[in-house]
Amino acid sequence: MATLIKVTPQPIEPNTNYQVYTFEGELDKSNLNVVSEAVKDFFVNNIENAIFDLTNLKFINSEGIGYLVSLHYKISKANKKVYIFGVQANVQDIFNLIGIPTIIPCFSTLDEVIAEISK
Amino acid sequence: MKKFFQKKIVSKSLIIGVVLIGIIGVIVAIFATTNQQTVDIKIFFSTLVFLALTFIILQEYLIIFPLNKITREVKKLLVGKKYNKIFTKRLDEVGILAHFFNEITKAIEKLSTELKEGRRMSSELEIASKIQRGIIPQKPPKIPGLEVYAKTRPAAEVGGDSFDFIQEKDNSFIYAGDVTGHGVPSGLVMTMVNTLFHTFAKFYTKAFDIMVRTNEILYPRIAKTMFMTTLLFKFDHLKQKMSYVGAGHEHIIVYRQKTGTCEKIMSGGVALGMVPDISKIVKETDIPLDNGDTIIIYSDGIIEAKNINGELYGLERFVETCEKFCYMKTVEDVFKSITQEFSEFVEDQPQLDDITLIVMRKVPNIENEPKKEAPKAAKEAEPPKTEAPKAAN
Repeated sequence: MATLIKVTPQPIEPNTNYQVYTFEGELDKSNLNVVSEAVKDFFVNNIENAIFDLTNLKFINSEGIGYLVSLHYKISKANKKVYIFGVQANVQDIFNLIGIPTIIPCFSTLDEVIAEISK
Repeated sequence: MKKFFQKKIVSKSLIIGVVLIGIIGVIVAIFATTNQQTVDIKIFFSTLVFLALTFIILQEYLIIFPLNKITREVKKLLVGKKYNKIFTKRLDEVGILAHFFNEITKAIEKLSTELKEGRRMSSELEIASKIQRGIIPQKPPKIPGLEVYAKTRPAAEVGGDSFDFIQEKDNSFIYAGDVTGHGVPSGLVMTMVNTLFHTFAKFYTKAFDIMVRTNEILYPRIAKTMFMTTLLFKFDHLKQKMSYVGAGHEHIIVYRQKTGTCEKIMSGGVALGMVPDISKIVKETDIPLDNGDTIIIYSDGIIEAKNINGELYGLERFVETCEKFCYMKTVEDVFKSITQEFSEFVEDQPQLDDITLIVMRKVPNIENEPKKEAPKAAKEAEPPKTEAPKAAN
């Protein structure tokens, strides 16, 4: 049975160079296509930074993490960047174990990400 | 069923036709002999006979013959002989029947192919499973100063979890790994890593080098969605020292015999196959061990298992379980007690992920202990038994 995930691209604010995607639910092998579908436009628009808001991501398994990493490489190949913020404690534990912060920059808040992009 | 198909529909039709014409003929004969028939009646009956014959011929051509053809093919299908498709442009009942036959046979052919393919894959999975079982050691090795007990249980025929013991000269390398997901793709990655670890262990004495070189080879060869979390331990036989390199694996649990408590150590690093070079991310760290201290390594299949109420087994519960049983005399007892407690928690819930558990304990190194004196010398040194009580008094 597929677990539920909702990935919503937020409206791009004027004069900004980032697109925020909010994740709600649980991410595993059964619903990776939902993420893929949600971010597909990012590859063709002019925005350079994708920001994943994981505040409401309750669970992610190893296949979900593998997919996020592959997405990171795909976006990097298109000369764009991925940032993550608002990771819940249980998800953060898994991220830390596997070493995700060494690959994808992780922050606590959106403001921190924006400050990083502005550097 | 067989007898039914042996009867020809054409014979029934012919009999009916002949009987019909016979009846008409009899009626014509009666009319002809009893009454002086007019020409009109003769023409009427002749037309009737003609129409009856035409009806029979048309029936034979349009219905009986095509039905017989369909029946022949159905019969072949049922007895397992080679059958042919029925080609027709007709849209009536016969056409529908022929189309139905063609569709049914197409579906049967597809099912048959899938069945054969399923059997072939099942057979290949069994082979893959055997290969993997051959890679994972069935018995722990004898390591001077270290007792080990380990097992893995895959969730599918082929699993992504693995462990192995590699003994090279004065070092033993022990690793546990967990590839993303489970099944054949994970099994292939696991096999690659196992081979690479064995190969590099022949060239390098540091666990760090083995891990870094393995990642270099693995990274370009696997899908970007896949990775393998790993813990590689090195036990130096001469120095009796343990060190490890973590690559994004679960915590290391160390039971300290002196305090009777467990401590959690983050494995650190980044999973194998995620980045091209991990040399700046991973490091080799020593774990000081006293005799009786126990190291427990596990895969996420244990702590992410849920019971019937959807409750996670979880890391804290697992650590409590380890603490509860690590006092036991042998590593096998510790292993069996932990797995028993785990099984009681999950009960009959289906196993969704591979499960691996390794228990290692530092024990006195018998080879390094001073050799016992010869029995004769011991006898000489021993005070006379009869005198001992006197001396005590």
